[in-house]
Amino acid sequence: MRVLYVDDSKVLRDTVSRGLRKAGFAVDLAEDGPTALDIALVGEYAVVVLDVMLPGKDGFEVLRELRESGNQSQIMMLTARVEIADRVRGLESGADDYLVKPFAWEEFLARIRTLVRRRYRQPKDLLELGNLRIDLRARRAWVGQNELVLRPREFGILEYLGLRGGQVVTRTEILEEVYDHSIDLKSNAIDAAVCNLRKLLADEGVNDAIKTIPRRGYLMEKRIRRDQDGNA
Amino acid sequence: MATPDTSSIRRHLQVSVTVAVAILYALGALGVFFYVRIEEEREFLESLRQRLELYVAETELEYGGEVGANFHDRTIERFEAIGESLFPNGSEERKPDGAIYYVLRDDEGNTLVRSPWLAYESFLPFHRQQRTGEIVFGQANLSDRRHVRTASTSFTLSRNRPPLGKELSSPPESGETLPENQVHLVLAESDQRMRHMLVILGMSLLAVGVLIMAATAVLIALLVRRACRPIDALGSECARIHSDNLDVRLAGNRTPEELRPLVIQFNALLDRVEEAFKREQRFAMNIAHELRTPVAELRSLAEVALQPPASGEPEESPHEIYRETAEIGRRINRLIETLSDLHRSESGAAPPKLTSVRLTDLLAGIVKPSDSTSRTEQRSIRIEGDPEILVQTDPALARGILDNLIGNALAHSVLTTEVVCRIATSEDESAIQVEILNETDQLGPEDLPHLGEPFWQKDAARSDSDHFGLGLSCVAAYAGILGIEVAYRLEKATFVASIKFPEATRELFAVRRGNTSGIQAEI
Repeated sequence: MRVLYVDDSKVLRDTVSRGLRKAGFAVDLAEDGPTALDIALVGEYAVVVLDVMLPGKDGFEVLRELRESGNQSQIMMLTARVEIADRVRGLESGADDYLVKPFAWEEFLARIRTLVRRRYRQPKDLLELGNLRIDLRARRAWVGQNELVLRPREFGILEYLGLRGGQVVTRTEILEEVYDHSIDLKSNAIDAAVCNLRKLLADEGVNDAIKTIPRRGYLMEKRIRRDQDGNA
Repeated sequence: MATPDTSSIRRHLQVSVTVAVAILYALGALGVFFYVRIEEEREFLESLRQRLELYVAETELEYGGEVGANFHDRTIERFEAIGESLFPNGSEERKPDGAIYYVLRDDEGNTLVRSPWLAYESFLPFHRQQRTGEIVFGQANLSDRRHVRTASTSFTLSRNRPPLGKELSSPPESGETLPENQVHLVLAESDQRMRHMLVILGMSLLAVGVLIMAATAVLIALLVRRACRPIDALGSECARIHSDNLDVRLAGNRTPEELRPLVIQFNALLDRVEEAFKREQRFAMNIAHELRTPVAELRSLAEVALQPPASGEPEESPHEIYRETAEIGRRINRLIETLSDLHRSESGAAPPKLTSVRLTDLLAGIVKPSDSTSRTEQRSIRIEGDPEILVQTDPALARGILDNLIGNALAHSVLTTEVVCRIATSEDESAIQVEILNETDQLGPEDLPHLGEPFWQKDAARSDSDHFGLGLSCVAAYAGILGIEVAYRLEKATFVASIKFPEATRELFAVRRGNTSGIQAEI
């Protein structure tokens, strides 16, 4: 899942991006309002975290312009200002959440995940695709009662494919949303991870859960069944 | 007697106006009463005097040597008929109020004629020494305690009559001289009726006074309540103003003229309170922001470091985290120290230690090349003025002022421009002035009133973590301690910070003003 974090504090930019990457998010950073607007309008972000007091354009202005341009990203306002009027102003301007500095990291992550779910219209932390269940909060997955032992990248791909269930997901999207451009597009890391996922699912009796669509990408069905229960 | 509650304007007005009306009414009533009394007495005595003259005219000496006092003819009936006809001498009946009493005595004091009602009373005052023709008025009480007013006179009966008690057989011949017959007539009349009338008048005035007082009290209460209605309305309007609606102002258009100055002053006070409140809010908000951001940084650093690393990602370097933590700590420490310093200066806790300071040395120490930073490297600083000028000041505080002003000039001037520190004297050479000039493209005239306000920064995002916006607040506080005047102005694109040392430095300056060659130091 791709997150844009905008803050004029370098320490916070570095720390938050590090923390989000540890949690499996792909992160882009901006330090002022105009840059944030440029990046957010070009890229596709599940969540944009906007500091209110930004050089150039303040967070409220960036938020207003994003909404006016039809941007559908979930937007969290982040600020050291605690006045209720500021919160109301932020939420009324189209923000989806409002968090006051200093914040607890766990709370920040939980809110980001909630926003991600909301972005993909997934109301619960538990994503159920037939026999496959993915706990988005705990970052764990099961087929029936058996838990899949997944590496973070594998879980990221499974999560992203699951959230986009029924849609074709390109390799570029996986590269951006899961790998945060940390690998080259020509690398076979994505294919290797998908292959490994298929193997793990097959071990649990689920075959062809992830289909390859030639020259387009991958597709995961919305309802996945074990072979003994029927067809995947 | 309990004193009225004067803290209530309404009650005070009621009491004051009621008392004023009561005093005015009492004075008026007393005036009327005494005027009537004086007039009545005057008329009464005039009437008595006229009667007395009438009685005198009616008194004559008969040829038989007897006094003929014909006080009972038709003229006298007017005065006495009632008394004489109705109540004979010695009657025990009550004497009528209008009865006239008279006593005619000879010069020896023997009663010649007297009023029938005075059959047993002859105590009407008798003034033997009285001059002839003079009328003397007096007062007396009858045996029945009736109060009477008296008028007495002495007169001489005709000389062509025999002496009293001696009879002449024929009228005296022409040229015959007969002895004088001096007699004294006292007339008395009860003033009961007049006194009664005055009592009734007094009682009537009192009763009317009580009624007027009661009516006045009620009327004034109503009028005062009505007159105080705008004050009540104003009070209610004021009561609706709280900390969350300090932008509300009292409407002066419906306020009575007398209260309008109050409304204007109150609204002006509200302006100041609102401004102060907003300043306090901004201060609290800014201090919260300045502290929340580094705390958020510290907390995030620690909590993210505790998260397990992502697979394939390298562990973050503890050294880097420690370095960042230390830097944040230093920033918080600097903020706290600046705030403490500002507080100490504003509360006057640190008295200045005055000593002679050479201004050029002070300025040169502040802008020494070793302090150059990325910003200062692209700017030059020039010091102009008499190098010998000394000021009597606290070097630490003066340095604090100049340090902040020059630091600001360097931080906010246009790149590759020059910052000028100019030492000058005022036109009358009474004061020493230092001006710091820098070109700026960041400030506008609307920003000047905010300079010196704690935490104010032109950049609303406050993204410059090296500055808190407290520098000029410290300048104002230090200047207050040293009695230095600080002023800021914009001359087109040049920002000028001007500080004027107090007049106390004049003497030192005068001693050294011989050297005016000046220096130009470029750093």
